[in-house]
Amino acid sequence: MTGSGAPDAHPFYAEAARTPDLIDWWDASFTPTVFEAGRAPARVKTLLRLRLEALHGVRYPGLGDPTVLGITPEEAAAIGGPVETLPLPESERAVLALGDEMALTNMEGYMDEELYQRLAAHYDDGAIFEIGHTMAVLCGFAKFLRVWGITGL
Amino acid sequence: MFLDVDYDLGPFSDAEKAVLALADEMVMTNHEGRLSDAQKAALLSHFSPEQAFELAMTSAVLTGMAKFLFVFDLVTREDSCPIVRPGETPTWRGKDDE
Repeated sequence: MTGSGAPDAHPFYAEAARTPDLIDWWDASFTPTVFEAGRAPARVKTLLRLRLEALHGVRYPGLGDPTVLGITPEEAAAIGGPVETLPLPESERAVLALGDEMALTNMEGYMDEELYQRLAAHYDDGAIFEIGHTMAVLCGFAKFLRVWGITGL
Repeated sequence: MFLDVDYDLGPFSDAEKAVLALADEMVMTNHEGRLSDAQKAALLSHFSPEQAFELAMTSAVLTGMAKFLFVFDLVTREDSCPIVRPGETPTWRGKDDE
């Protein structure tokens, strides 16, 4: 993981203690092979994670310390603001714009041609699909954390 | 918000109805979804804590993948689908909207 190595006190781990296979799926499969590896940069996916946390009012377990990937505290603090005003490169703002379409609160979420072209300027189709798939897991997991009452906040 | 059917009247066991109640909380159209103590107790009366937790995590992936399929336009939208593209109006109205 990209984290500092400190234990994660997220209540997910206590709730899941009797299902270690599910913890393994999150910590030893999804996180290292999709969230941290894959085609799109881990920094981009971590920015996305921070925005989805802000939009959904949850904190994800075990996804590491953003500062390890060069995300400054100032960037992390600003991540919930309007995407186009964020002091980030266009390649990262385009991904966050896709994140806003994926947010569960956006019932009309849709990647239109304009957004696709913004993304395609920086990522190939495999990376765009991977980003979408990563967000699928993160958004669904956010819903689960809220429904199960373990937002981690 | 919900389909115009009542699974309580359907051919489902109490265990299955408890799982369907979980699904109603997890569905993406239910922005206030939260499993109540009574709903959790109903689940745990039929499933072990491990099974109930697994069901919830499974529904997490299903819910997230559904959102992904809609945003990437990888799924056919049925007339009954309340999730529309920007600017479109749902043609379907659930019983809660009447």
